[in-house]
Amino acid sequence: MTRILQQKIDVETDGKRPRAFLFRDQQYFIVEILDFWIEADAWWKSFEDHGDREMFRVLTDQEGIFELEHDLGDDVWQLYKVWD
Amino acid sequence: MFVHLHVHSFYSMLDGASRLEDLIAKAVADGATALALTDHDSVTGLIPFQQLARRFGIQPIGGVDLTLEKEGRLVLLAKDEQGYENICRLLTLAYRDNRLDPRTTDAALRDHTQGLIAISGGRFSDLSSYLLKHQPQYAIKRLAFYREIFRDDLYIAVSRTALPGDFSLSRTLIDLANQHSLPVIATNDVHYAMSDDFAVHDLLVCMRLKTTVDEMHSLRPFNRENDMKSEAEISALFADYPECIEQTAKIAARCDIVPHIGESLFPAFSVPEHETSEQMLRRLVYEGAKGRYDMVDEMLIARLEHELQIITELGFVDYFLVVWDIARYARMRGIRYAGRGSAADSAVAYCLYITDVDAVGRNLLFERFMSLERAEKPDIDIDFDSMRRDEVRQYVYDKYGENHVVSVCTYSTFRGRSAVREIGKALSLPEAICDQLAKRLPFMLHADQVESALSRLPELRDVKWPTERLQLLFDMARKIAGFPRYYGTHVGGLVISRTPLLKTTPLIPSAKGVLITPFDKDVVEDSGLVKLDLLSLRTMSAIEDTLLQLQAKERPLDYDRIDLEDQETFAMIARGETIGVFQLESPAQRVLQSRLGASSLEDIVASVALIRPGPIKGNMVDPFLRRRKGQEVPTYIHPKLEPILSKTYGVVLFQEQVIEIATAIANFSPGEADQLRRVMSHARSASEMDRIGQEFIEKSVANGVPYEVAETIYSYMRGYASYGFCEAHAAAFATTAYKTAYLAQHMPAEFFASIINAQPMGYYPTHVLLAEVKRRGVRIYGLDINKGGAFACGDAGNLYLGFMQVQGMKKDVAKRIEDVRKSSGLYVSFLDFCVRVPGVDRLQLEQLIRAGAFDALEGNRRRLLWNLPGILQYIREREGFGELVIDPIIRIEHETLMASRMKDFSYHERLAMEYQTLGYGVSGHWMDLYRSDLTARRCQTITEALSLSDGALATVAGLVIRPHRPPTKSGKTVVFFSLEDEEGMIDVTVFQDVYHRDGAVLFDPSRGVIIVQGVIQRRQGGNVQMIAHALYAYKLIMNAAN
Repeated sequence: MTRILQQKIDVETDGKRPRAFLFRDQQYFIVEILDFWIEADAWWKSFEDHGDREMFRVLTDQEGIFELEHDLGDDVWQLYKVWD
Repeated sequence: MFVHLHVHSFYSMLDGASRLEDLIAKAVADGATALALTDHDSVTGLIPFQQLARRFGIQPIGGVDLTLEKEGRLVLLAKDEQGYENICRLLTLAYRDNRLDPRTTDAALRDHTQGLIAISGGRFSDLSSYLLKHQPQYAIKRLAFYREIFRDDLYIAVSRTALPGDFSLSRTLIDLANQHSLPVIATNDVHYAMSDDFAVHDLLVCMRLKTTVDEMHSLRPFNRENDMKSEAEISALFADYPECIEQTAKIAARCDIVPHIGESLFPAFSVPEHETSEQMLRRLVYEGAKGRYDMVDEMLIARLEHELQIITELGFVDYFLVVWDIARYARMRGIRYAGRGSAADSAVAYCLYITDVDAVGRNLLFERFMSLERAEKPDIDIDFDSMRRDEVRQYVYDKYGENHVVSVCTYSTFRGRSAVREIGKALSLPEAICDQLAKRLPFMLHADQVESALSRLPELRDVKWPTERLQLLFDMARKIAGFPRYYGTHVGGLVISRTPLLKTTPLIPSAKGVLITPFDKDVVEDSGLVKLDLLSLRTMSAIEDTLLQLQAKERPLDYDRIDLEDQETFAMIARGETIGVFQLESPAQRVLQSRLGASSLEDIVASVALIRPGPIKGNMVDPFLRRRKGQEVPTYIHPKLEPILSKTYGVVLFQEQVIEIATAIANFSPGEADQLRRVMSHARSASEMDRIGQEFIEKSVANGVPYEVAETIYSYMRGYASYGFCEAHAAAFATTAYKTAYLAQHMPAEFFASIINAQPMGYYPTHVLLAEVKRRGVRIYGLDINKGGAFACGDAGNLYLGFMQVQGMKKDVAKRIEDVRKSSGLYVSFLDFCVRVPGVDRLQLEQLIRAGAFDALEGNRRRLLWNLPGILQYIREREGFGELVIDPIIRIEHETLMASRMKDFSYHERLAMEYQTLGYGVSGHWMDLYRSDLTARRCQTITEALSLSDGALATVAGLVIRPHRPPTKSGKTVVFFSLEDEEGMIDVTVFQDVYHRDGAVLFDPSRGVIIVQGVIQRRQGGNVQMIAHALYAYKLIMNAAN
């Protein structure tokens, strides 16, 4: 089961990869990056869209699986999806 | 050191987004020492890639990305010539089974592994596909298969292009490779040089998938990570596994540069035992010389020996023998042909009966065709009767074998109209807008000129376009301009190879089923294959048709002995009455002829060269005409120029003259001079031209020519070199032009019938040709089921249209109509016709009715059309085919059908049908319908306008024929078109100011009749034209009045 949340969050990184994030006042530490991919922006709507997006599917210390989205244009992170 | 071994260029059509230049430039910028090219199921780009890569010090590696039969893809790299040949064989097999979706089978792979390195494991490989589907057992099976057939030449590719699942796939592939002791390499499945080009790649994929950018599709690219990453970027991606980077360099070291190019692959001609090729050529030349010339004197011998020496030294003896043999075959079979182009500069070609131009008599320069300095393959083009050209091609296939002969490919690229439609569709622009924009663009507009056309052309200015997506369309059009889009068969290019073709090229079927090499004409020659151009010219067919018609009427004509000084023919040409005449029928040519007053073949030769963009822009036409008519005396800045330029009245018109000038003034050898000419015509910069000029001037001065004189002469040459026409080519065309003029003058009915049969050809459509032949006093008979034949034919002043003029008519049906009538008598009724000529489908019957073919028999077209379903039903029942399911009201007895009183179509309706079915109004002319209203509006007929004096004002109306905007010397836009009404035709010129205000109507496909107000201009020689002051669409005036 997955839930799409799309909520902005604060993320701590090592410069490139996320290390931990804050969600609903709780700190989650990332134990493993299970998968990583990049989605290109909708270049044909350049006046609307922001930039490419990095997606990280991560395993946290509390054994939760989350997908974090990093908008490379705005440098904004959001919690995209949680796997229940 | 990292080497990109999986790379696509734009030759991966609708996928690869980079030109070869861009890929090489990126490789050079990144400090790469080698680069592979592996296009999808194609080796088309390998030769230009090799040439470009070597120029920049990059080792080119040839390969291919094959689509496999069941699933996935496999990259192959050629280690050596054998490997390259195996790639050609694999592609040949794949395309043979399905040319639109070629796939390589395991069986084919198994038989063709020698000399190849195989790379599997990229994201789209079968291995990855099975692993992603969690079917490792199938992946292992595939691996075992590849291992078995490729052994130590198998590598596993890992690419990290940030796709979902890449993490685990990458790990699994590495584990699998290690388990099987297979080396792993890093690849990036490059589809564009820079990541900025991702949008182009995505757009091309959307076009290929027939989807739009706004729609999701599983096969659209996910991100922009398939660029040509630098070694540093790849190293960062594979920091955990650096061995896979080093392996790429090891693979590069194992690969030779293939294919091997440069060596000529032309076959040796089979000669008699007692002769060498050179001896045979010499014998044939001198035998031919005796037939061509009254006397084989010393001057002729010197010329022939000079040419033979160059031909022999350059190694093209066999080439001439092959071409001689083909021409001989055509002559033997009575197939009309004519050699064209610079080959007509050769006396040897004339004596071998390849060309019909006496190069010695015309003092033509052989070095324009071949020279030791240029040392290039000769290029002999031959035009054949288009109806029989395929017989000649078949002869070549039969003689040299199908494994050694193949047609050449040609690539269509994205141009203005096609780019607009396809890009617009992919960008979700409304189809109506794309269509409107595309239709209004000039036909041959380049894709990167679309945006500027919008502001420049009045017919595009007034339309409201959606700006944002449109701007994107323009940007994309600019980026993909010149990208290959389709391949097809070159019109006449044929390659004959000494070695089996598969050593050099795959053989793929064209849409028509003809096997072609995927190399275009330039790449073919770079590969060492020699191309012949066996072209088809409909004019040849028309000439042959005319002669056959004359023969059938027992008025035979020996075409080869036509009087080349017939005064009636020259008088006709001088009046500008050359519609239908080869090379002389355009409005510009007709005006020129009326000003020139041609009185010899030389004048026709000059005419062919004069009406071209270069002389027009270079302002050569008027000086030539003035001097030709003795209104101006030619002056020569140096006495050595006079013998060279006197035949063109002091004007430099021909490329051969540029060569002769360089020879006479600067003491260049003819070969060096031709090199100079070629360099000048292709010079890319002013500094290069200056450098050439300096060399010319220095040599001229050394030859005793004053510096200022040499400088002035060079300035003339500099202007002329880029546009000068080949005199030999002009002479070859001029002979045919004159002879067709002779036919038009002396047997117009037969000649015009033949050019109508040969359509599409020439400058004008059928209805203009028919109006012209009517003007010449020929009576035109419309279709008559009981008189006409399959094809149009003429008979001493009468022209009978043929059934093939009917749109949609099939040749076998047209012939059957005539044959049945001839064998068993005239048709007595429509029903009689339908019974005696079965198999004519309903559409063709309707077309024949609408065209008036049954008017003499039944009279009432409407009644025939109304009753047609019932008649067809009657026949089906009569023939026992069972009942059709049709409305019982229509199903009535035949006798009742014919007796019913139904009013026929109006004149307007009958005329519209004839234009629709025949392209011509037999009952009258379109303008008949509007004449009374136009007269009330004080519009004159064209006949009335033509009788007005110079400078008189006129208002005429008619149909627009062939509007066009040729380049002008001033650079301003001038539009030329012909206007046709029921009485004749007049040429109209529209200058820029009028064009910008009113010109949109000329290029609007729905314009209909237009009204032109302007002034009559009478030129010397009798030609009359109109200068337009205003243009109106007649329908707008009618609508306003209503």
